[in-house]
Amino acid sequence: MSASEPPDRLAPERRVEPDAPLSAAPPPIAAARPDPAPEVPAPLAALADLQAPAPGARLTAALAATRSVEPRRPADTFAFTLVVSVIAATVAYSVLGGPRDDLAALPRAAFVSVIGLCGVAFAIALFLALVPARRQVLPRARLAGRVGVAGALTAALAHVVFAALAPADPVATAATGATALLRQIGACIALGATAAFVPATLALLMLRRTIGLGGVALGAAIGGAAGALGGLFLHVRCDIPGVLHAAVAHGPAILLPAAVLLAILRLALGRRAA
Amino acid sequence: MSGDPAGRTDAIALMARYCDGDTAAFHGLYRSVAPRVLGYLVGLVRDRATAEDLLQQTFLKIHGARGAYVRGADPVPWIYAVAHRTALDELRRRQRARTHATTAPAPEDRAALGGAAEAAAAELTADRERDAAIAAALAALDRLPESQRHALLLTKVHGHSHAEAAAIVGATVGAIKLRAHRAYAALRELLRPAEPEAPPAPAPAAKPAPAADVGSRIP
Repeated sequence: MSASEPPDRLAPERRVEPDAPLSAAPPPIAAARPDPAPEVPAPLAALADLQAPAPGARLTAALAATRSVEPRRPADTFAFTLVVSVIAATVAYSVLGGPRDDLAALPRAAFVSVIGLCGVAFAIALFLALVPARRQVLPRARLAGRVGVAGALTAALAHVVFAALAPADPVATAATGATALLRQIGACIALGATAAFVPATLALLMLRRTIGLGGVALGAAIGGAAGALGGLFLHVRCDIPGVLHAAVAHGPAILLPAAVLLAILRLALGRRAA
Repeated sequence: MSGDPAGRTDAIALMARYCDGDTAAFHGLYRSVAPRVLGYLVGLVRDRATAEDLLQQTFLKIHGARGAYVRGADPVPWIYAVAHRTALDELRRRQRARTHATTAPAPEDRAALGGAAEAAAAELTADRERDAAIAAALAALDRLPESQRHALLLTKVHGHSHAEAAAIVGATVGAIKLRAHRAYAALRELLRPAEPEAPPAPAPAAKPAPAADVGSRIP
């Protein structure tokens, strides 16, 4: 074909846009939805929106029995869990004999500071575990998990620091010998677990429908919060002196709930597909 | 709907009515969200039939967990998160059973995609192209690490914010950004059209055979 001849109208040139949708069919369902980012390669764009089958038989049967459900109110759930946990710990504290015998001799500011620190660690971790971000359903699992573990570690450290500041109790003595030490460790872990049990159980119950979505991080959050409350309980009950006791008895008592719940959730969520 | 305020508002309203027992609201939510969730599931499990089954399981779980919904919240990231976990469970189950995932549907399965009989011929062409596109996408996605695949699908294809994608998969926002960036860069390389091959060098010209009547060709 020479330059003087007209273009061939039977085979007009077609310009193919590289990012144009490959299908000429209109999108199957009308509702407003965002287009994929303009730079998404065309083959991937096909995955943004596929024609979905109608609800199957099981789903249809489940829908036939649809009833209204009570909405979830996370803030109310948090408040309820917090109050019931504190009440349960207070009852246990009263049943077990009230405050430590050396209370009068303790440095008041430091004593109250540890209570405040444990209380804040408990409340914040519990809040982040139970209350999603604004206008979200999914829990803030990662953040809650980190705060829960950090709070429990800080509470354990506070116990050690306080033990260094507190004078020795003339009545209670630190253990001498491995057996006595193990007995004291066991007693403190049991005491901490007594206070940790209620918030841990309640929080798991409240999150039973979304715990799978938060993963093991939620276990760390709930366990960390429960451990911090256990630490508060230990702080006002246990009068065994010494940094060593605080490190090997109170520390594990505070950190154990997080470790246990992490392990339980890892097992439970990992086995869900079996 | 993530990134689309009107769509987000619709989903919130539909979910609220659904929680109040309105079945029609469920169907509206399903029509709106299911196509996108199906696309995400196909990207995860690389098998259309399994993805459709997982879609049903996802909405069954959503139906059973309506009490966990927080009024006024956007339900779409939550639905995606349930789909994500359901798909991971399936992939773990497959790994245990040591089954091999198939790729895009065979042409015979096109009938299952729906379409009126009258427009079958036209739709056949469109669906064939669409299936080829999906197959190409799945083949490319298959070469990415799983975590990058999730991040890419959620952010680049399905339009979720990094924060939403992080909540859906249980990662940090920073991790999602990094994974999506790496996945997108890798995918662009994988999907780049191949350079046309250089034409082979012409063979040296053979000696022409002597013409029987050369004189008659000369104008």
